[in-house]
Amino acid sequence: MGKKPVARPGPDGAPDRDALFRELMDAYGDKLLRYIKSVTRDLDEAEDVRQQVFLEAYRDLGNGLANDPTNWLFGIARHRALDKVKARNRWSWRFKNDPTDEPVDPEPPAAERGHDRKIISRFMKHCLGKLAVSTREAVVLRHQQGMRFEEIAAMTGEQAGTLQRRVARAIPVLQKCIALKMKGGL
Amino acid sequence: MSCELYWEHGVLLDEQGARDEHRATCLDCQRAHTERNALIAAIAEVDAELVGDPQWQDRVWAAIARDATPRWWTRPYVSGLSAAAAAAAIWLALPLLRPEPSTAFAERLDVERAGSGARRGDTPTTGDILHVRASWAEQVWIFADDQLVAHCRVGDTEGCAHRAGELRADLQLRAAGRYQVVIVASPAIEPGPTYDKSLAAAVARGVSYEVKPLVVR
Repeated sequence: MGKKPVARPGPDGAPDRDALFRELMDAYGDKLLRYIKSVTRDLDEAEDVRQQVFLEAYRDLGNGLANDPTNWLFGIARHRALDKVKARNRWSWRFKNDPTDEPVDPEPPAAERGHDRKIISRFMKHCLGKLAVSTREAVVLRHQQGMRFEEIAAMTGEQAGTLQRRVARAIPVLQKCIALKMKGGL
Repeated sequence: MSCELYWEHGVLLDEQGARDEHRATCLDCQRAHTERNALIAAIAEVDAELVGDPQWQDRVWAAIARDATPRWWTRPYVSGLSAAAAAAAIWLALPLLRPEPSTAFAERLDVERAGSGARRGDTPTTGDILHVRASWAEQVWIFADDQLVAHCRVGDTEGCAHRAGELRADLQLRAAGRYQVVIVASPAIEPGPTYDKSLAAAVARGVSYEVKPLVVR
C-alpha cells in the first residue's frame, strides 16, 4: 500500500533527510489523519497525534526506519492514537464518572436526504463509532486504507486470520446498524 | 446457504479471498453480496473529504526546530556542572532513590514458563523466559545480582526485537538470584557494568527510569 518515498541526494550526494521527510508528510499526512481520526473520533486530537507521529518519525528517520514507511508510520500512529483514547477514557472515568460518549453526527439536512450514498456514508460513520476500537481499527485499515490483512497483522501483532474474522463479523453488524438508522432508530 | 448464512460464512470466505461456490447459484446470496459491497464502499467514503489544518506541516517543522534548539541547561558548562552535582548526590543517596515499581511497569513485563508458553506473574524460576516491552524511545536494562546481563534498544538484535514502535527484550533466566529490570526513558544512554553505575548515569543525564526487582528461585 502506498508508494515508497525515495530520498533525493542532497548537495553532498548523501540522501537528503529533510526532502525524504517532506515526501513522507505529503504521501502519508492525509491518510494518517483519516486513520487516526477513525480511532480517536476527534479531529483536534487526530491533528495532535499526527504532529506527534511525524515528530517521532523525524527523530527515527536517521535510523533507516523508512524502509517500510507504511508499517512504520501507521505503527507509530496506532500507538499514539490508542494512548489518546486510553487517556481520554481514564479522564472520563476519573472526573465524569460516566462512560465516554462519542460525538454523534446530527441527522442529515433535508437537502441531503435524496442522496443515498451520502446518507449511508454519514450513517456508516456513526455505526463505525459504535464498534469496539479494535474492530473499528481493523475495518478501517482493511476497507478504508486498503491494507492487506498480513500488513495489518504485522502492524498490530495479531494473527491475520483473527483480523479477517473480526472484519467479517463487523460487516453484518454495520449492516444492521445502518438499517436501523434508515428506519429512524438508534 | 441462505442469505443469513452468507452474512455468517460467505462474508468470511470473501474476506479470505476464497471462492464462494454457493453464491454463484444463490440469488439471495448474490443480493446480500451486492449489499455488502455497497457497505464497503460506504466505509471507504467515510471522512474521504476530511480536511485537516492546512498549516500542519509547518507546525511539524516548527516542533522539529524547537526540538533541535539547545536549551540553556544543555550547554556544556551547565550540563557538566549539573551532571557532576547529580552524580555526587546520587552516589550518596542511591539506596533511598530506587523507585517503587509502578502498576504500568508491571504490565510491561511477563515471565514465560520454559517450554509451555504459560505466563505466570511474579514467581519466576530458573529456565523461565523474561519478556519486557518498551517503546522505541526507551531502552531496557536487565541486571542479575547487580551485574548487567541484557541491554535492549532500537538497533540491538541479540535478545531484542523491535516492531511498529515497540521493543521487546527477551532473556532466559539461567541462574537463581536477584534481578532488576530497568526501563529507561531514552535510548541514548550507555549503561554501566553494574546496576548502581547504570542508574547513576541515567540520573546524571536527567533521564527518568523505572525499576522492577525480581527474585528468581
